[in-house]
Amino acid sequence: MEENKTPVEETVKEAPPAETADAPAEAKAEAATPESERKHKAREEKRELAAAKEKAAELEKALAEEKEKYLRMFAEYDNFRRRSQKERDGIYTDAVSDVVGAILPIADNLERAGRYSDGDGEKVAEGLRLTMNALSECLTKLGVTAFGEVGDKFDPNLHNAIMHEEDEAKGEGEIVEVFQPGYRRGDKIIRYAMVKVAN
Amino acid sequence: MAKIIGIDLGTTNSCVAVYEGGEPTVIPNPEGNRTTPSVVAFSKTGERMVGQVAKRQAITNPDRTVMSIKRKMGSDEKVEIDGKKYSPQEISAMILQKMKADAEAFLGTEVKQAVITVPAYFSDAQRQATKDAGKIAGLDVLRIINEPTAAALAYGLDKEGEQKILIFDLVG
Repeated sequence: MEENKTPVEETVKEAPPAETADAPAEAKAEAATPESERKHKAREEKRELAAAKEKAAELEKALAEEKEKYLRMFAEYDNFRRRSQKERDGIYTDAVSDVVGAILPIADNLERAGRYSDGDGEKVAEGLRLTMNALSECLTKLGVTAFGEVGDKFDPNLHNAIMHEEDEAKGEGEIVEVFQPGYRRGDKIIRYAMVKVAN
Repeated sequence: MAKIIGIDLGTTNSCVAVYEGGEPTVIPNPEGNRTTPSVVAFSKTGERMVGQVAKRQAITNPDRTVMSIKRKMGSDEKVEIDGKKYSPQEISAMILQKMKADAEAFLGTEVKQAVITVPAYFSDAQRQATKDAGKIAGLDVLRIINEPTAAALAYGLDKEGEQKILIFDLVG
């Protein structure tokens, strides 16, 4: 309601000076040549109408162009999204293939060991050690390093505490047992070390 | 155009999503997960932790770790840590702040507006508390939506013709 009121008030306020200034001049002109004035006015209006129509057509054209552009852009974006999703899936498959490929020789060794084992415990243990070394080497080649040792200070950014104990002989937040070492590749933690923390 | 994020502020986990090209996309946290534990903790030195990092240290620091704060939303109960009292709204705000920051890092732009979901059974007081938490986190909460309603919207209820959809809220 109030929004409607303001403009009305303004026109009322502004109107009087305008009238007093223009009214006598207008009245004089109309009185002098009413016929030519009317014709002039009609011509003026026609011109205005033509200009407005032209402007409308222009705007309509511009709008149609923008609409077209928007639709194209949207379709392009949609394609882009689908393509990059496909690419991402492809990269994932390639990465998994690379890693699995690097580990396969170890699987081969284990499989052979199972086939040719003659039950000599010592030889089997030796074989396991060698295989473990091969696996560690393989992980190093992939840029993967292990972490998390007894005596390290607990850091929730690296370790996952699953047990806790009070022990005055140990330091504050000291790791007293590692259930599973952690693994990382660069900044990315692949697995948080599962630990028991004192105090 | 400024992005509006949608936040599922859960009891155990929270999740944030954004509309991209007409489809909702879940924003992963920096660790690469689509959900973030709704856990807030303070280290002995007063450093604040939210999410997975807070959860991993929970067992070593139970007195300064807050879990399942959603259960206390709308109540006058406070959580006291190192002599300082926090309202459920304030703790929830810390989770919302983390979701907001993760969304901003993902989108590369500041986020100011959000829609937050609440359980359908939430009372007015609980809804208001959720809204307040958003405000404390620096978010303009445009709307509070019932979780099953959000599920229906995500399914695409508003796009298809007339249809009947049954929504199960399994909670947890």
